[in-house]
Amino acid sequence: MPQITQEEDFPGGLKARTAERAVLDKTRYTNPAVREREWEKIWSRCWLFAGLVSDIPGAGDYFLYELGPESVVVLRDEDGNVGAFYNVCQHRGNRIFSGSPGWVKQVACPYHGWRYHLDGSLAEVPDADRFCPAITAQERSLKTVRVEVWAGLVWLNFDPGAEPLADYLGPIVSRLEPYRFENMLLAKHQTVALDANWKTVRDNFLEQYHVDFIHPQHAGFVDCCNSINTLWPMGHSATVVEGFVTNSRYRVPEEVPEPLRPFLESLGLDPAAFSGRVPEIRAAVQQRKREVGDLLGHDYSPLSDAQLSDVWQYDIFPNTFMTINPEELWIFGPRPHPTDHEKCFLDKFTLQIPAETGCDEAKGLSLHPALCVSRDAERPEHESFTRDDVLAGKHSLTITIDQDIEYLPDMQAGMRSRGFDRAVLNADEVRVQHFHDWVDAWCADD
Amino acid sequence: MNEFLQVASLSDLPQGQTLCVEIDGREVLLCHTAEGVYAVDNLCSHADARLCDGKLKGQKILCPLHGAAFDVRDGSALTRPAITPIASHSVTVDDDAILVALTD
Repeated sequence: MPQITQEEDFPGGLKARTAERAVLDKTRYTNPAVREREWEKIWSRCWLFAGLVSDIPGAGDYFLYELGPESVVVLRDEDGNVGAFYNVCQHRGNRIFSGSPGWVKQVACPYHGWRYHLDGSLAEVPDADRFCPAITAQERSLKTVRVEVWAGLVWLNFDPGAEPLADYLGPIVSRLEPYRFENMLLAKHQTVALDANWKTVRDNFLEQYHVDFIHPQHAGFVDCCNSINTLWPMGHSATVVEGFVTNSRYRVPEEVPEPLRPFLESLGLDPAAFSGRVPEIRAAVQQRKREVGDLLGHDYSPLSDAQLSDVWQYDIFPNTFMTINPEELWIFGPRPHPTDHEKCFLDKFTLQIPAETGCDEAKGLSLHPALCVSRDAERPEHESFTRDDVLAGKHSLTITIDQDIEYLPDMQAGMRSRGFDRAVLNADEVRVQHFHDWVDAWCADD
Repeated sequence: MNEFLQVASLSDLPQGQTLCVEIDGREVLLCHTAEGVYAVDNLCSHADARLCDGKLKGQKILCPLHGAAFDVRDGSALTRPAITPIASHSVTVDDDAILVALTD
């Protein structure tokens, strides 16, 4: 069975599709002039996932979001409100905050000592009487950026007139809420610097055509041949990949494939019991997860059976993509380099349900074999590294993503060649096409 | 190294808390982390701020003025604007007694 693609328009009539077809000319990945256009038309107008509200639990807690030439500080004030401000002193433009996440009692610029309240308003100027005319808080408070918090995730928008986040996300809000991301804990925070345009990274995660070739291990636990794709307006899309199954292109194995074994064992299921019954694993896991969830105190009731076994990937325009298992969420985001169109920084946040309700060592049960974070654990350090570090085995974003990272700079280098003009896409790469149609729509003249 | 002096009681310093004590006219910050009790100078190496007004987060003490972070285990400066380490002092805990020997 081939992949299926459906379109869902937004309430109000906004259409999912913007074009019948578009040719992906290589210049969109390689021409530096495109960077400025995208900065003005996309990054300055779209809602952007910036970080986790769990990083700023108390007054004065902050984190930084660096995007292209901008640095934004997301900061909680004494009243518990979350504010976002350009990380720029209104005296002479010095960057105020460094180090993230962090905490300050009061905002103080290290250069000339200007101070601001945690709500961004100007508090104190050293030698204020030497300024003429007098400095006013009205004119010289920190400049704000739009911020909204949804499902424990902090979103920013540089456009003061942007629509509310919920309108931008449309039906994605209600589809993701059952996962209760706000109850998940940060297990890893990683950033890898890549010699690739941000869209080269996006494309990789928008199709599964490459999976058989660079991720051969996937044949033993997911079936990308039957994925269901959904296209939404704004450039958002999703795909559902059946999990706890084997690739339907190949003969069904007699024995349980190696990658599935730890998942079965952690749920207390014996892989040997599924000899000759491999296609029955998916339904057995769905049922068993509910039983073990009840035993350990984790509530699966908001989720459907398919959500318990399958991998749901949501792509939120322009650069947020989520790989969702009910126990573990990966949020990825390639951020453009400040000056080089052919470089980006790829963030990965790994969130998990708490070990307290996900595992029970005494009973030998775990809802997912990788669960490791307890509620009182310290926040993991932010790891920053390069592709070379990944290839050398010094850092890993899991085997699958490491395999992607190995290839991405090669894609970028190849597209730059005189021997390549434009990409051609097949039906299973429809979400790549959809994404670029919306890149073009956002970048079009108003 | 200077001799160990009793400066505080462990019962006055719950885990996750800090306590500023004075030893030979020098302010020293005791930090009780999950890994144990550590002692560093109380003054930030960047600007004139007392770290006892800051916040202990894991193994880091954060300066109240600009948020600079220091590793309380060895005094190293972890984030700008601080670049110079702060002195770290030897600590032993004997029953309830916290003893500190100043590094010169």
